[in-house]
Amino acid sequence: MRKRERMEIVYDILFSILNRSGKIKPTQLMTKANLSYKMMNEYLDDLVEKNLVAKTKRNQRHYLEITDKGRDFIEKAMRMKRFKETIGI
Amino acid sequence: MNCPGWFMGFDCFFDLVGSLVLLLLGIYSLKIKSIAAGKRPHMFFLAFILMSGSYLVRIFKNINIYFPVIRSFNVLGMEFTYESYRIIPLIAPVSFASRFLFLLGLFILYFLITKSREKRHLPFMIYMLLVLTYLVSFRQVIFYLTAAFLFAQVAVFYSRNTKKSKTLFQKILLSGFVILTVAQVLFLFSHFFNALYAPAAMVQFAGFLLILIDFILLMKAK
Repeated sequence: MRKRERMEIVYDILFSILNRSGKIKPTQLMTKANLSYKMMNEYLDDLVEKNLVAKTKRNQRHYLEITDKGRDFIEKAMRMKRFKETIGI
Repeated sequence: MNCPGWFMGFDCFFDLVGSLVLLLLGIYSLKIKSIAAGKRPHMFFLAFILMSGSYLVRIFKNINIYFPVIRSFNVLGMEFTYESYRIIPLIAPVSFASRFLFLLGLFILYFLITKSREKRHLPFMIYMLLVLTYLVSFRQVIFYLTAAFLFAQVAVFYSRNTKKSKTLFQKILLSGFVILTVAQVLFLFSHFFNALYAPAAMVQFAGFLLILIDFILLMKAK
């Protein structure tokens, strides 16, 4: 199987969160984005720092939420992905 | 030149639209390099830019042919006037450049889309393209025949893609390339029947318009 590019992993993380109405539990994200615990944390630190994802806590449970900046980012990335698939790049 | 008098200038406008559509595709291809691995986005950019550039060169050449300037000179008090192209000695090389850029761009696109792995053949292919372009400078028919063949190959690839994923975007893109293939065939026959030149240019314009619509839909889709 082909190794995913960094950008593809970021896309998969944000898309997984968006697919769960913009909020997801870390364990669910690991399964949805097909990531190890270590890798997920590495990527999340970066995404939180860039304000694409926010870490929240409700009823003693941790959640990951996509920010407005994250939504804009994923929209642009989806557009690019569609173009890439359509043209065959 | 098979362009009827009444159509001169209109074809330049149609070519300009084609050039802009190809430029748009080229720029966007480069933009997606962040999500696509390897050099493919750069190569797609190159292919589209070469084709776009070839249309610009053709417009430049056609304007010079369609709208000649009146030049005059004075010999022993006698005024001589004559019609001249603005850059008359450059018409032949400009025509050669336009056709070479177009075939090279289209060939790269064909090479990329069909995912040919035989990269070691590329220098030889480019040499053959140069020879071919030299030949088509004398025989316009060969140029349109080659362009029709390459466009048809690209369309065949897209039709296979459409069978796999069946998105509206791919269907529209396929239609665009089929129409561009038909346009090249019409251009080919316009060599024998001048009346076909204007319809061929219009059909080509419709093909580019479809690709533009597809691009707009792609950008607007949620």
